[in-house]
Amino acid sequence: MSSKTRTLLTGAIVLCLLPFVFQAIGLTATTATMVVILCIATLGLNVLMGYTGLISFGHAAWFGMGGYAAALLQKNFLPDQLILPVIGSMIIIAAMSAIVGWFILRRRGVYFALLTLAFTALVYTVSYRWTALTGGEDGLGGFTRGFIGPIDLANNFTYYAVVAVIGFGVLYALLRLVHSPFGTVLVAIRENQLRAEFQGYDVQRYKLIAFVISATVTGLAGALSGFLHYIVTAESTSIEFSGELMAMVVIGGMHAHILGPGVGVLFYILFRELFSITTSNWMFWFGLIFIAFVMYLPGVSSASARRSGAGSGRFRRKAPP
Amino acid sequence: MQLFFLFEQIVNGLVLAGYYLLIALGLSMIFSVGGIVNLAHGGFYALGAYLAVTLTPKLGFVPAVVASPLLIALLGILFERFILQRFYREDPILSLLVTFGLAMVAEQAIRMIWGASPLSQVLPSFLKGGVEIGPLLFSKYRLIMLGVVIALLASIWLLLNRTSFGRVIRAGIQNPDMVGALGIRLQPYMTTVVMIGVGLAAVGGALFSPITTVHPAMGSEILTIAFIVVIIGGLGSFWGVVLSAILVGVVRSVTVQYVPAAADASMYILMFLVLLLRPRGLLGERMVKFES
Amino acid sequence: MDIERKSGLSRRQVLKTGVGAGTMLAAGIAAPTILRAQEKPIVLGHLVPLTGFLGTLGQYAINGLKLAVDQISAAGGVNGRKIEIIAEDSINPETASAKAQRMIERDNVDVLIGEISSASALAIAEVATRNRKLFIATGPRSDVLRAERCSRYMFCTDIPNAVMVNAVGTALKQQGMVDGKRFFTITSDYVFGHDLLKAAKAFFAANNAELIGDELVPTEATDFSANILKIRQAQPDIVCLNLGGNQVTNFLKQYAEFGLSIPTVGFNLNTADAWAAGMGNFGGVWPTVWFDTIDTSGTQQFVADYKAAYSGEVPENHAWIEYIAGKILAQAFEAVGGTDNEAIIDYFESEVEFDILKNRPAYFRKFDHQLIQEAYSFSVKSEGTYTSVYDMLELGEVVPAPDVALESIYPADTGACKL
Repeated sequence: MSSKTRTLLTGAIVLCLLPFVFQAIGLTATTATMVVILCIATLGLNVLMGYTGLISFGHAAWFGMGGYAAALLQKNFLPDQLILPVIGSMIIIAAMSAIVGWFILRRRGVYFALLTLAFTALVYTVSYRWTALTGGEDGLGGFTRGFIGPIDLANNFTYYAVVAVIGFGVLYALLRLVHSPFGTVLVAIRENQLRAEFQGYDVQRYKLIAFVISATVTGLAGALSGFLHYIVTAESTSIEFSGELMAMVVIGGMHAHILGPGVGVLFYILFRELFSITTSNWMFWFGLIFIAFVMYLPGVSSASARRSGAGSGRFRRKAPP
Repeated sequence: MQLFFLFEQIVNGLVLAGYYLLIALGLSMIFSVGGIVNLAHGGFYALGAYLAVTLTPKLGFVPAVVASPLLIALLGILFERFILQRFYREDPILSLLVTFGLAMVAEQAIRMIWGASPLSQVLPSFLKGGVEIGPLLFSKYRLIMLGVVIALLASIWLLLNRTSFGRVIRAGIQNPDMVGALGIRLQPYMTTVVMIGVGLAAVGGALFSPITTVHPAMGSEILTIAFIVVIIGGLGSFWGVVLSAILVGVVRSVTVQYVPAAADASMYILMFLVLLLRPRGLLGERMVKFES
Repeated sequence: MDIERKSGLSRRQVLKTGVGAGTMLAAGIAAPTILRAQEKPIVLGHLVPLTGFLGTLGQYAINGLKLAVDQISAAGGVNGRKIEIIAEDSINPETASAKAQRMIERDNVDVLIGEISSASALAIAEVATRNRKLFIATGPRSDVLRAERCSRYMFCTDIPNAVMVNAVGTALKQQGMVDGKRFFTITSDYVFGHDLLKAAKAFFAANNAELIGDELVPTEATDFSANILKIRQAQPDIVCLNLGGNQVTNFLKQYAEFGLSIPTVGFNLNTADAWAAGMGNFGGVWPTVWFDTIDTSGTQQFVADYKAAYSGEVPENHAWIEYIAGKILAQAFEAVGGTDNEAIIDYFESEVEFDILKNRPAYFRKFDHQLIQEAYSFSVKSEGTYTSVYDMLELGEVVPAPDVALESIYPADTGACKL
């Protein structure tokens, strides 16, 4: 069995078991759906962070705008539909991220990250205040999950199934992508941008395409999240949420494995859920565990070892599986 | 008259620069020297405010504002020894994450120690009120704050530029390996820098405690704006932060005069523009670490 | 408690009991299970923000509800059943929604209660409506909860923006501070502020006051020096604040810092934020839904009980509101003989009255599920007449006056809410 098949199989099994395992530990299909949605979002983010080596503080902006776009499309043009508004929202996000990416990809490293930070802050400010479009503080509501053919998605398990299928599709597509020549170039850019340029690659164009794919996948997750909760709020475009997405990716080990972000999401959501069920001081304990995780988890420090150039053989991976 | 209003807001912006400098200076120091993106900066700011409020009934307002940053600076030793130390040579993203966790711990710790409801803190009457200089109205307290900021700036500048301590630090920013090769241990220097950095955050918190709400999440209120000031100024630049604080203060003040609702958006747009035109910020130096 | 019942058992309740009895007869074996089920505690699913900006108020809220539930359980519970609370931090709207779903699905809560943030309340209302579960929105004040986004399953206990403006406006009129005066408003630039501003403008227009300046400030703004200078430039008679959350406190502290003498009033100030502003930092007239010096035996008893339970802490309006929400629910459980949500909703919709520790009892209005009750204004005592922030504030007149119908200060039915 090739590693690709193994990855897909693992993904499929986890997706099938997740709602039942969650039921067993006292959580719900809704939380399971949220986990899959965040997995999609972080898979998207990891195209940029893990494979291209660009740190983005701005993915909450795409997540939130994806949600707003899909919800607005359904409310205004496509009543009771799910698939078309989601596709429409992906097209909108792709177009917007192409424009924004063209501007901010001219900067590298921390400066790129900081520009994405400024962008998210701006999007948050706009969505919190543009009440006529986004509902402002109250959030945008008043839409439905709609139907796929005759299937009503209002049932939480049905909706989970749809999200899981989409999630599997995203995993498959991204797996193909990173194993394609295109993916190899991205990793080459991450490892040494200068060398990639000398090899004759149009680095800027590759980065832009990676940026657009990454933003669009995260926007897709945002759209699904809006339909899950029947509400899109400005909080989902906030810097805090960007930070959480990044945290999930990094906990998952960035370059370690394409499924890494999924592990990060599970850790983050499970710990936060279980802590906040048991104690009102969940933030304190969660913060402590989080610190310990970043400081002592080998997968985490391997990500930095590569960047600082300290790690040699052990940390230098070829293309991630 | 319109022209006078504009002038009045520009002057206010200059005073406001002191306010922004207090928020951003400590963040900038740790960022430039250690390459640490300290998201827990807001936590130290909040702790500074809470300590000042707690100490005021016992010591009086002015001694409390002096004592609180000193205590927080001691806390900075632990912060540096047990956490930051491991991250100087690492990817900035890791220090960012670890301090993200620390910020949560700090916010909740405040809630556990002092309770969730906001605390009250009042300016002593001799510091309260306005001063009219010609047709202009100033807040007495802000003029004093401005004085404190200028004094702090001068001492830090002297420390960095006129002492051997400063020479090691500046060399360390540019080339830590070279400093190491010369047989100098950077460690104690870094501890001092972190102490100064978090101490400055606490100075901000303590000084702001009578003019802002003292509540557990107050740290996150100032974090974004602190970052914006540092970024506009440019990483690694001492005068960059000063210039940036002045620019942000004036732009914000003037925006309030004409388009009050855009006051905060003006800062984001300013940052966006500066970064597009001057990629390393106004006076930022080229640092390899931040660009790969 | 002087509880006046407008109606007896609802039709639905009678039907329900009939069916229940029939089932028991038919399935004799199941009967013991049903009886045992009756002794199971009633579970309330409670969600408020305990972290972040609204966390300051959330702690009061949960304290108030806990006190009510402890008292009810100590007195033998409702129909012999104790009441339990499952309480969690709602964190943000998305998490609030997921948690509400989990509480309904996994914890089998009988009723959802809580929330201060309007967005989280709307997210929970969505889940509640879908699962046909009653949700008592205790804290949020946004108008849309009582209009476009109202729901059969959501009831709101706090007063909406229009009432806050009316409460302060009535007091201002009595002091001759409206007619012919020039106002300058400072408004938080988001839904809550805009709603307040709209209500304020209507009030100014109706009472011959002039609005000479109307400034929006961003919700993240922490510094108001530039705005304060603009107020000085405009020289209004009165500065009027439509600010949300702790922005009021920030503004007042900085206003005192600059030492401007133009009087301030405002249409929103939680008591906790007023205490945080500190002594000698502000004046003016402000609205409140409840205050700890209200002169009724109910309120005084509650304040004493609360202080005894929470080491002397003075209760804030959010503590009171969840306390009475708990008591209202207990009354409803007792009246309908269980926790059947549809029956409780019908019971509430019958506009039955509840004692809420004020002079007049309150009731849920049928068409928008708003708790119709008295409101108050409060002002700040002159400096030197008090020694702590807790006796700094003075309760004003009750609004509306005792001989005026309660609904007169509430917005009329615009037809926006379709239940």
